[in-house]
Amino acid sequence: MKIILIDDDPISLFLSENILKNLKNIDSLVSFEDPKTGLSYVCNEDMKVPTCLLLDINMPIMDGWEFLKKLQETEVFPEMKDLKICMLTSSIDERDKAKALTFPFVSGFIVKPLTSQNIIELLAS
Amino acid sequence: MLFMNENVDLLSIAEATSIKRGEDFFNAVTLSLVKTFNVKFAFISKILAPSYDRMQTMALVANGEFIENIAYDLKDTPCSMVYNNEVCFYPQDICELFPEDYLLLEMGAESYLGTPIFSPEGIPLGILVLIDDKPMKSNESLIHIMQIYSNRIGAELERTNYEKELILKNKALNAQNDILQQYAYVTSHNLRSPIANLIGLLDRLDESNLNDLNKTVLNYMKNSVLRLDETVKDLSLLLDFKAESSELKIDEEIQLLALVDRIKQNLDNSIEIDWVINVESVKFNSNKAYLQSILSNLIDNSIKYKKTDEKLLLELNCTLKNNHLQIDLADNGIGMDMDKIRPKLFMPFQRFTTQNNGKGLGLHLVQTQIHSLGGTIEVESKIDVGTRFRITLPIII
Repeated sequence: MKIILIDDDPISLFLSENILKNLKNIDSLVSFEDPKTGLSYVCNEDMKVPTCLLLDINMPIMDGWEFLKKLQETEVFPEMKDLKICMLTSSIDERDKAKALTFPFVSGFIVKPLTSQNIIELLAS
Repeated sequence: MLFMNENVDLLSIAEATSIKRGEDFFNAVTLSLVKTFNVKFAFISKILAPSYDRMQTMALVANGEFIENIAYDLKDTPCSMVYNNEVCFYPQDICELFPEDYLLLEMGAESYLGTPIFSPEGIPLGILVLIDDKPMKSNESLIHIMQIYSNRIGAELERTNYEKELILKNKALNAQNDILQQYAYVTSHNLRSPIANLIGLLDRLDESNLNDLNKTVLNYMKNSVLRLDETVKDLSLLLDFKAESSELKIDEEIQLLALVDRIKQNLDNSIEIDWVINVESVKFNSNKAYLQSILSNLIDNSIKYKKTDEKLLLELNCTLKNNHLQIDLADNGIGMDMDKIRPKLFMPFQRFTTQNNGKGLGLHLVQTQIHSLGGTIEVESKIDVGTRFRITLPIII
């Protein structure tokens, strides 16, 4: 399993990387502080490997919602059937959770901090 | 004393204006005055601040029809005399008496009757005027009716002014409330992300090389940041409720017995409870999420503050009384010293015992939700005996 992390907060990114590195099933890990670079990476990458994208919501310039919309609009999006997308956010606002569920291709909502337990549960689902 | 004719005239005007408000009322009065007294013109004018030397018509009828409102100077007009507190009646030759008033000339005016309009406090606001192109007969009852309607117009003008002021103030308050709410959201959101980082970081810290002192320090840090997190979460929950209550749905069908059953199923099984339930099996409409949250919060409290050496006894009574639902929930818990606690019981972040890890928000949420449903909550409690809550909610059956 490959993991892509997109989060503008370097501390949060460090933490998530630290947890993910210690997990067995994860073969590779790529992370981006800038969601725009992250988006072009996702669009240009060969998505044959099962991949999970952990996406922050509150980010300057391009927030998680805009990221999802932009991704959805790309030509390559229909081919990303094996891409699992999960929001990883510090928000405890129920409205954010409800909004995430309005995107049919978002399959999870994890409230920070990420723990090995909730990532294992996500990958198993 | 009213004469027969005056009675008929008054009745016809009263009928035409009785259910009207604001601008509609002013229009209805002028139109029915023209029709009832068969004159060519009728209008209501208000004085224009800040100079107080110009008038603006608010309703203007000519030849039986409304025409566009106008503004005019008071100087050299009969209107200026009316505004200065006099009833002015000129049965004929009005243009000769006020040769500088070109509007009167234009109208072809012959006669004029004006009564001043005052606010209920006696402040001059404007005038009510009839003008005709033929002489007006001297008529006590006509003047009387004009005065009656001037007073009504004065009261209505003041009411509309208050209404405008109220709407403006209400808008300003809403705007301010929105800003505060936004501010609170941003605060709680911005607090949450460094807290999440701290929780995660403290959890990843390698404790194996720490000495005992540092281990204790680390544990205290973990506890502190978890408590901070709980507080921020509660705050955000509270803000959600405050934001929601302005658009609250109260038309959901509720079966109280089913609701209570669902709450019971969600309770922690490890605590044994003796239930005495007496619930009238009725359906009614209210907000389901709120009712469930209210009841489960109160039951959670009973569980939290049960006596450690006694089985928890919960008595739940619900009765319908004249479109009100009365819910009584009584327990045999540790109870509270009501003399001390009463003023603070429903305030947020208040805790009255060190037993258990409450955050002091439950009862505040309960009260907020009950109030937003238009209900009330009362409490009786005695130390070592137990606590009884009584909730009264208006409902739609």
